Amino acid sequence: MMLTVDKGSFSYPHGQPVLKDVSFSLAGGQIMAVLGPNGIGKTTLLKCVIGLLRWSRGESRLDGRSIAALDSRRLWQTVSYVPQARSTNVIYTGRQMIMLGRSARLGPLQTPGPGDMEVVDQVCARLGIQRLTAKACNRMSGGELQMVMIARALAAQSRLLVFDEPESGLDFRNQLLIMDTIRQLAADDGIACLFNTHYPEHALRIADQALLLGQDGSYVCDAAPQVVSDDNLTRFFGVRIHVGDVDCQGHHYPAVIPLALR
Amino acid sequence: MPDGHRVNKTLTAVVLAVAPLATALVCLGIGRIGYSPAQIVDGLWSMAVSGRGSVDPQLYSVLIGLRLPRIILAMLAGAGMALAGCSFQSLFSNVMATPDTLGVTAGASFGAVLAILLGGGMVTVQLSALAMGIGAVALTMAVGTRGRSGSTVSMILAGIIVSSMFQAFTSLVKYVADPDSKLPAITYWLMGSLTNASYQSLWLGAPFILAGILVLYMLRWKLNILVLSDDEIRSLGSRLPLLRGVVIAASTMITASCISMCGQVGWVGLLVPHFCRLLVGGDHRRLVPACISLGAVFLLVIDTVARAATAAEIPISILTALIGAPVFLFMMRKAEGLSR
Repeated sequence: MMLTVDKGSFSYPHGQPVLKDVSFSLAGGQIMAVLGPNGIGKTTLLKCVIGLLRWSRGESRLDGRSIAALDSRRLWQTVSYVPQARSTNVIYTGRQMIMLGRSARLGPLQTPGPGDMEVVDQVCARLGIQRLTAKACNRMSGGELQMVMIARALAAQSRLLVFDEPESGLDFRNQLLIMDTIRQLAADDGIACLFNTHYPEHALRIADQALLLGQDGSYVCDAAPQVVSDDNLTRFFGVRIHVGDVDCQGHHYPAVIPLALR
Repeated sequence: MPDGHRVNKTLTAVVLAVAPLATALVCLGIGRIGYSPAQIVDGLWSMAVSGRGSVDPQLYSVLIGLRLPRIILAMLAGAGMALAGCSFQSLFSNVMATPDTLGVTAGASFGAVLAILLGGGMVTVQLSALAMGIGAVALTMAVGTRGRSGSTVSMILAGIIVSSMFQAFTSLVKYVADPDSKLPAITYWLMGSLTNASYQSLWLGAPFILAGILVLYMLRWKLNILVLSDDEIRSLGSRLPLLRGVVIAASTMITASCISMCGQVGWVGLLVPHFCRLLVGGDHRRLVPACISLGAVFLLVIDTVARAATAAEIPISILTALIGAPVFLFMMRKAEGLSR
């Protein structure tokens, strides 16, 4: 699987450009992080990339074929979108919610069968969330719901996962769990992962590439350590930021420290 | 899955399948002339085997001529309205949505009272209500879905506006109607009643209800997805405008046809889906059959009370509200937390 974005631009009608000539490519097994200040267009970028919003100019391609021209069922069998897990009033159980991911592989009037049940079971085992299958989604914590959302995306057996702020609002344990899950999906299953985040150190921890978005559609995109630097972060976020290292028990951890407003 | 759970599921399915028929058998026997379920089964059996001449003519005319069309209508309307309510609750991701949300009730009511004002017969009233109900929803959709995807909020707003417009038309009709002859007929019609059930009206109205129920039943898995946000629905491979359009069209056909035959019957579309959710959970693969079955039972029981409890007929909307409101309050107390 190879995702290519070729000179994608996006602006709302009668508005300033949000994204301008964004180009990058992402191969199976690779992870890419999208960074940038609030409201700069990170989510817009993700939605444009996978066709939930339409590029004003430019295009996204999957294995060389334009996403806009792909049949929607084919597209959503290859790509899955993991929305940000907000508390929900949906009373489905975890199993029912995860099963919804199978829809992309079912006909319009088809209901899931035993084969689909099996896929759901495998996905739950893969993520270690069997205990959530009988729990109602409206009673889940943020971390639990996010894992269920990831499981739902995996149930579609797609090759590209797009996460909208997967670790936002979660505690340390759940942040690490989500990061580890993404890393494993890329490394073990060869799935391409694209996620946006407010934590540059998460990009340094797991991402191969990073894309940093700034005002008026400006951006830098490169290997994560090149993008996440003092200079870039300070320039794009408009506050002084230092990227450092913490050595602890023989391991090396990236640390990103906001220093001062100016 | 533990075995006990599966047995429980099968049991629920059997009960849901049998309940409407059993209720119908009992209700057929209730009325000024009472028959026991055994007499009814006996009578129906000999009619089926050796023709209508083999039974007491009185039994035939009471059961088949009088009560059966009304019972069929009650079951169809109950099942249809419950399912339409359930679908709209999924469509708007809101358990407070009812089949009326897009203005079908206000439109159909105006159609009916206008036909009554102009002196139309039963068939004219029915057709006018059906057409106006569908027309009102078409208007709501035209206003509320401008823009590419059409958010559900703007659809609900448009529904409120269109409803109040048609309610104003209805008031206008009542205002100009002759207070001695037409106004009582209009008022009585608006309160809802199944008195006018006949095979003729059923031939005209039932196909719409049955077709709508069939479509929504086939889409029951898709109703699960419809609860989610727009982006999620699309990313699960569903064609959103099409899916929404079909669900709205099916629900509207059902509701407009029900209202055109029995007037405003409130509560069924709100009460029954809620009760079914408590019973079988939120999965529409089980919720849809439950709504069909218990919707039929609910309205059949209510209508039997309406026609048999007192010497005079009680308008059905009064009963559904009088029974519906307390039951609903009780359920809300029991379900505390389920909806949160």
